[in-house]
Amino acid sequence: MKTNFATILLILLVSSCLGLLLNFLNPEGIPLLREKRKINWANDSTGVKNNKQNVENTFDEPKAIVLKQAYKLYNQNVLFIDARDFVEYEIAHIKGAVSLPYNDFDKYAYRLKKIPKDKPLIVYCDGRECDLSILLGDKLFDMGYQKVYIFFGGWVDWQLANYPIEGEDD
Amino acid sequence: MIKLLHNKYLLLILRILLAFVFIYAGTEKISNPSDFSQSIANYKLLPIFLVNIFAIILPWIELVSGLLLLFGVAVKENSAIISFLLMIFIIAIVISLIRGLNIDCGCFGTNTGTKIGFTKLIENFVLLIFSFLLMKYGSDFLTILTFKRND
Repeated sequence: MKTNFATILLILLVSSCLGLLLNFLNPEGIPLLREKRKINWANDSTGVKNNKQNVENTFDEPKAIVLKQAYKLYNQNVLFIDARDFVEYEIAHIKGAVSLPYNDFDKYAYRLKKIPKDKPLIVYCDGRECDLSILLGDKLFDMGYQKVYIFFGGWVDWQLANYPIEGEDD
Repeated sequence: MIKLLHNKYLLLILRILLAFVFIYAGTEKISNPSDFSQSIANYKLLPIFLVNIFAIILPWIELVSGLLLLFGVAVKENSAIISFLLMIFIIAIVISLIRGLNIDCGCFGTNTGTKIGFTKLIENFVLLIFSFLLMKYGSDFLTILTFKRND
């Protein structure tokens, strides 16, 4: 009995149709085309001066910020969350940041117990290319944290700017 | 040695083993499509818009092939499909390891949360050998079709 390619195609076709049909019927189904997660900037990065009405008290989604704003918030003692792996955090991190590796979320999630839901958080990862901060930011926001900032530029920009860090050597 | 590989009991065991692995892998992924979609996205190998199509279809191919394999229907063809999938998985893991990504495998959905690594590679290689053997020799011992004939 030789391998029959028509059968292979048939199996693939039937499976694909089943998948598409059941995804369509499934209330938890996902859209056919995945869209890139777009992050919106916090108001004062748009270059437009805020008037009072625009002051953000609650967010409808996590907001992205750049280095300048991150540093401003750092000086206001806003809590930084490091989304990178714990090994990277151990080597060095933004001073005072709490490690909450997205890839090991369940293991470290207990650290959130001490953090009230209305406390603003700034999530960061490596730099501009990494998406751990976005993923973690979304997750925290879904968990009920009302003010989640995503620090776009992350660890790389922070280091380049020579802002306060701490790590193994300290 | 060749004779041993040809042994119908051995081929049956390999068939059932492979079938269960893929049925399990398929159902776990089907039960949580958005998690699996995220797992594929983490590999950063596919253009983002293709990720969901993959997440929708791939688990069903795994499940259907696994079931057909279990019942002994079109064993060679299903083994060919599974071999092809395993090769894709191996390539994806190798590329990600070279890139230094530390991500969840997504192999059995995300519940198990195993990371990609050499263990995963070896696991996939072993399964690939099984499916190659089945692709070459087939396994028509104890299939749903032979049951029918005996009735």
